[in-house]
Amino acid sequence: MTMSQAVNVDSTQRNERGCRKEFRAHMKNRISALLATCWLLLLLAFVPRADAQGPQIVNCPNPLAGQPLLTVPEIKSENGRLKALLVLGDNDKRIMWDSGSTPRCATQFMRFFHGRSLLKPGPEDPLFSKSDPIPGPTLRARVGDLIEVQFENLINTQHFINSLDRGDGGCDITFAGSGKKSTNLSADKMPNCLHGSSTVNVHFHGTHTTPNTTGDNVLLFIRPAQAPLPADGQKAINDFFTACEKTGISPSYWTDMPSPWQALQKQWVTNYDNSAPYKGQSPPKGGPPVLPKDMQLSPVNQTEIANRMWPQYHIGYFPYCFRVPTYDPAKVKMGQSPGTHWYHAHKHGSTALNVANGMTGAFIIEGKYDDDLNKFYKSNPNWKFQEQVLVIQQLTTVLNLTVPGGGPGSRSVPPLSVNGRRSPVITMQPNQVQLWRLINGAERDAALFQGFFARGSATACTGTPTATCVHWKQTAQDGVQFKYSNYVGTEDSQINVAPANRADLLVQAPSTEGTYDLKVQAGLCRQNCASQTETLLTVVVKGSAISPAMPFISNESDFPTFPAFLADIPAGDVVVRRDLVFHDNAPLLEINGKQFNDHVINQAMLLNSTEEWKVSNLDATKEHPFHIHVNPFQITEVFQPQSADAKDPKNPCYADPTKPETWKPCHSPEKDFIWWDAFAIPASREDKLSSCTKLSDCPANIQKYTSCTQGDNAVCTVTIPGYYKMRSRFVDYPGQFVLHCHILTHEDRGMMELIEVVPDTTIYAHH
Amino acid sequence: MPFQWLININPNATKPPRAKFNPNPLPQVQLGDNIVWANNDSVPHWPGVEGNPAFFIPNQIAPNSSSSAFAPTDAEDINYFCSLHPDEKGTIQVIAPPPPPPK
Repeated sequence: MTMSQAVNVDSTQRNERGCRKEFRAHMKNRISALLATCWLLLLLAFVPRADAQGPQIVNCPNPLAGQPLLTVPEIKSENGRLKALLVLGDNDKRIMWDSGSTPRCATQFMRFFHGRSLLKPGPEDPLFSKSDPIPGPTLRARVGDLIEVQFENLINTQHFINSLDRGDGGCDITFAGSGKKSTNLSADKMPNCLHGSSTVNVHFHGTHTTPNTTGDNVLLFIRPAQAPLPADGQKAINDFFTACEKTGISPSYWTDMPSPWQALQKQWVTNYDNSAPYKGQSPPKGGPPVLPKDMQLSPVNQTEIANRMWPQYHIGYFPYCFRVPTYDPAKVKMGQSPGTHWYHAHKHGSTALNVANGMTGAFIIEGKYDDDLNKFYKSNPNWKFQEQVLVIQQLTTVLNLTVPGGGPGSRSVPPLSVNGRRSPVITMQPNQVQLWRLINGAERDAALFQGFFARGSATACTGTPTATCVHWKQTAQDGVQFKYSNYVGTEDSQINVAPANRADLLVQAPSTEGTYDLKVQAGLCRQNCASQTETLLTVVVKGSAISPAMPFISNESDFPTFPAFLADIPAGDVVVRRDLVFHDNAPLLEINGKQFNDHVINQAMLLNSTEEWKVSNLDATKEHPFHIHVNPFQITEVFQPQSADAKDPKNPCYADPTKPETWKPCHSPEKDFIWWDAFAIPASREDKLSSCTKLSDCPANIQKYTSCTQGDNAVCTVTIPGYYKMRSRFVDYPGQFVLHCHILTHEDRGMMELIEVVPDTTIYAHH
Repeated sequence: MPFQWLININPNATKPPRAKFNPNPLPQVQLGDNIVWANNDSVPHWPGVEGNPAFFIPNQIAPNSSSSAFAPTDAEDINYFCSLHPDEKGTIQVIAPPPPPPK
């Protein structure tokens, strides 16, 4: 993949010609162009013409009534292969619900994944066609497997607002009307605006695999299908999978794809260009197209293919094939970490809305970690070791960033759900231990554990190991298992499951029956920001007590063996250090003072090199969850300027606003660093300075962190950035991919960087 | 939590008015909700208000296409019509959300 496969050429056409001109100039060497489109004509041949339904108001299910947790249907790998049909469809029978005191519930069109295994004939699970908005099928593979996913985008775009990348205005426009006037409330500019939500791709979050071609490639634009997949198309996909199974790896070039598939996609993209409406006009039958040449997709694809690049634009169908590698020092420097991963839609500009619709699913990759846990918990025939895959979502069809009175606790922020239901009930037997795989697939909020509360009690019963309560210990973070030393101290620890985080927990029921609510604080940060407390789920302990009681693992020899490739990255291996600063510089969401730009590689790392990054946050009320694709990272240092220690002038760890040299943690681990692939950067702290009212009068050493108001009551405020340091190795897979904030409207609105891992070999010819 | 309402523009007659808005009126819209139109007709339509065709959306809606979103900010009835076919009329009834109960 190369530069021109960059994200977001999807753009387009804002309302004025000037913008297009600017855009064209911008694109210079690349014909990329873009965009456009509402081409629904072709769709009509395919999509039923039934009258689309708006929301139908229905009675709200009472979260306290205790709906049981739904188990999401699974697609499992067999004999080294996971082969799945993954369909993106929509349904008008999904139940939405509200939080707060005046709930409204309705059925409403939502877009979501469903599917089945292609290794076994048969229909898909009926749960996908019922009314609960469950996540996509849980994919369950094993380290070393080849992952084959036939992806089909079958969205009926008639059901969703300007959800095709459009010729008559690219950004989703939210107008507020008052009297006879209307105003566009969004200052966002393409490509960093919400747009084009029926164009998607799939990110396999947590996989260590190639970001190119048919791998974890989030730079693709897969538009809705124009027609059912023809028989020759299915045959071409089958031939591709057969070839991929033979080579065992993703293809290198588009020309490696079966030629009938190349021809079909070429034809579909051309059809699209010829039929797309533009500014309210549709082309006449038989042409000519109304879409301006520089907004057509075909020329972009053809230029890329001619240059041995992977084409960006695909219509309807895309076969993913990649391997999640077993660690073998002869072949790879890192293996795929066995654990709890996930997949979700990832097209820049619509990631948030798509994930809010429910385009997420769990991706469990098993390995020795699971074998070791099972070995211990199946050692006693009386024990019953169950696993729960728990996908947290924040479901909505409207990302209204401008709702008056918006913010947590208001109607505009959806509550958290688990597997499609609010506060569902998990049933446990007394003395049982279960493995919970928590995945935060919410588009916005973190879930900060407040503990289990016995029903009716105002205080948590967790925190005291001997208390009769549900207790937990953490065994893995972000799909990477803990070392035993990191596991031992985690009983009832206050876990912050930020967006994109995963946490594996051993959860232990008390010896007696009871009902316990797991409460979390949902919001954008841990301290001093608007948030709401919600019951994420409820545990009902009932039935006969398991005897002997199932314990937490308490011997290192029983704990999953820690793989060699996950050993600490030594400081001595670091060859490059970088600083990344995240900032909501309203209305711009920025990393290092810039928004995402599809023509710029912001960071380039040498393949197989080791780096240390300091990732900072200038915002006091938002903990931007940093996420980078392909390789996980180890955290070596975390500085939270809002922590009690850092705020207390009497504490030796005090962060003094006038002394930047004190803006650091006073305790950091020296070894056994924890691996993550998403981390909520601690919020900054804003302290008012009493010593100055004008910037030039403030101490010189903090002036660059200080801002002052004007006027009689001028006040100067210093911002102490929160930060963490991480080490990572950019191993095994060269290519382009992204890092971004996992508050997904932030990503869509520009808080993202295009990065590239560059091969460490040089083709050197000296003449 | 806001909802997204959808108004269909359906062809239903060979004589004017050719198209009709459905549902009409659109009731129970709360402040913060979104409204979009799906043009199921074979000709363009353009919902707007008296004197301001771009009140809701900047351009006409292509045949068999859907519009941008409109988010009302005032609790009132909005009477609108198609700027291209003025005899096609509709009403959106916007209500304020009920106040939260006292804590």
